[in-house]
Parts: sequence; C-alpha cells; structure tokens
Amino acid sequence: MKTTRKILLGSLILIGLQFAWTGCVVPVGGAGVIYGGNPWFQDDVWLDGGGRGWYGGNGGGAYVHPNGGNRGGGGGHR
Amino acid sequence: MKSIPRLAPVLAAVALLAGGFPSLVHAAKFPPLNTPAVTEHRPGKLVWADLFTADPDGATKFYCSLFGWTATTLDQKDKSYTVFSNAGSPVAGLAPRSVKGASHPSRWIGYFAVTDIAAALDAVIKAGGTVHAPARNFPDRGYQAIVTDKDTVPIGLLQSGSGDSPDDERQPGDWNWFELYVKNPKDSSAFYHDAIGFDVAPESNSNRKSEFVLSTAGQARGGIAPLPDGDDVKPSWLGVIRVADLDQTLAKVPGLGGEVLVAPRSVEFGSRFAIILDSTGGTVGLVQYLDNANPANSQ
Repeated sequence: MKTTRKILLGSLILIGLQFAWTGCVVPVGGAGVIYGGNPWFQDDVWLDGGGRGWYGGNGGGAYVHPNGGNRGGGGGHR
Repeated sequence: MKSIPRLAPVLAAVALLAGGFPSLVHAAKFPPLNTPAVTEHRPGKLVWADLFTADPDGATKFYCSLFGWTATTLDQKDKSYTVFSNAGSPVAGLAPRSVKGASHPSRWIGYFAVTDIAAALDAVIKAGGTVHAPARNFPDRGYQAIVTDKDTVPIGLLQSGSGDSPDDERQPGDWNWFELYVKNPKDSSAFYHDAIGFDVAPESNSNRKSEFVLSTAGQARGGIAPLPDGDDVKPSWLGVIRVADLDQTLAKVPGLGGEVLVAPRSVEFGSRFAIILDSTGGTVGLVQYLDNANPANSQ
C-alpha cells in the first residue's frame, strides 16, 4: 500500500510539473483550433460561416466595390 | 521503495501522455508575409486571410483547382496548417477546425494590418468588439489575434514581422477587395473607425447612400454594404478574388462541389462580379476586370 501511494504521489507531482511547465495550458486533442502547432482558441459557432443561407441565398441586391484599387490604392494584399 | 525508480519511466510516460506532449510540440513556422521583408507598415490593409474549415482536404482541392493556387502543408501533428500560394507568393491559409460536418460551414477571415497588436485589441474592446483568439506570436509571420466586431463578425488583426507589402495591382488569383455586409452599415462604419482607425466615406460611385468605403492613408481598403432583409442572412466579410475569366471560373464551380450564389453581373468600373459557395460552405467573391484593364484606371 505504501508503495502504491508513493507511485500515485509521484505521478501527481509529475503531472503537476507538466502543468507548471506549460503555464497550466495543456492542449487537449480536438478541443480547439490548432494554429502554429498548438491550440490557439476554442472552436465555437461564432466561427461558422453563413454557408448557403448567407446573403439569403438569392443574391438580390448584391453589391461589391470591384476594386478599392488604385482609385485609392490597394484593396487587395500581397 | 525499490519499485519507485523502476517505475519512473512509466510514470514519466503517463505524465507526458496526460499532458499531450505539450513541451515536445514545436510551433510550426509560418512563412513571412513578405520575402524579402519590407520596412513599411500599412495599418488597415487586409494582408492575409485564413479559411477555417472542418474539411481541409475538400477545401484545398477546391481552391487549388479553381484558382491554380498551390498548397504547402505545415506540420502540426494531426491537424496541418496549409499555406496557399498564387504564382509563388503566399496569399492565404487554411486552418482545420475541430468540429466536423456541414452544420459548421467554413469561414474566411481576413486580417487587418496593425502596428501594435496590444493597442489594437484595446481599441477593439473599447469600440464594443470581443477578443476570441488572443494575441500570439507566430514566427516568422508576426503577432495575430482574432476578434469579432459589434455585429459578431470575425476579423483578424496581424502585426506583420516582415512589414506590409506595397499597394500593387492585384493579379488573377489574388485578393482584390473585401466587403462587409451588415444590417446597419452606418453603425458598423463607426466601429471600424474607432477600432481599426479607418477613415469612413460614403461610397460616391454608388446610388446606395448607406454604403461606405474604408480607407487608411488615402488608400481604399474595403467597403461596407447592407445585407438584404431576411431572417436567414448573416453579417459577414466577403473576400473577393480577381480572376482572368469569370465565366470560365464559374463553369468549374459545380464540378468541384461548389455553387454559384450570386450570378455574374456588371458592377462599377467596368468589372463583372459573382459570389460562390465553395465545397465546404465558405463564401468568396470573384471579380474580372473587363478587357483585363484595371477598373481603377477608368476613374
């Protein structure tokens, strides 16, 4: 029993050190958006696009300025 | 007591597994926005865009097939980040989402250039926005954050580590313009003025009085247009990509699993424009300069 308790204690200490080393932020697979090798933020519905329903689907009244362009400069990037 | 040293490797393995090997994970290095680096910064310019998608393979196939982009995968364990390049220059990224299924349509998020990410986040919060992805340094790209505006539309902020590129004319396959569609463009224009520092002016080339152009340093960076009425519409930024031939591009869309949401139409400056849905539910605009002339030159 004594040995078992020590094993458990040792495990807890090692896991605790792990938390301390990573600033208590431990990546959990699938729990967030991985970006640059590590989770960056939690995945949630705010990130969902509008899909087919976006814009009502029919595009009535669609408008876009075709080129912010050199009328003033660069709407694009690169 | 003897069993402790013998079990040490096992305990260490258990601890590492419990932590998901965090200390062994090295952040993937992103390519810098500009190679070679430039010294100028252009706050307010849309300098990058990421597609957040639950179907990375499908999205990669769609965009590479449609625009001739090439994809370079950066290793991130089991969830790779993809850099799309157009004619050899990085133009966009793809970040996989942890959720799956068509109920989570993909979304493009454009990143505005900022010169001080911390100050930019403060300004967003003061203007009524919310921080969803905190500022983080991504070598060699720079500091990034993702926020939502007062209408909960996501936007990115990017303090580039390699400066911001000149405002050159975009080529086919490049982002050409960004437009925000919202219910109340006037309210939104106030947010973008306060949060990002845009100069806001009514769109003088349109009959729609509620449309605005966002500029910095005299350069038009994007526009704000009203969403049509309806319960199913959703405010969103729309990135518009220049194509050489709009009809040819649109003809490929259904075969790649996409859909034409807004049929091609003539717009200002002698251009044609359409909106498509990609095979994963992301929306993107397409524009063709007629006669391959930069419509801006007709002004």
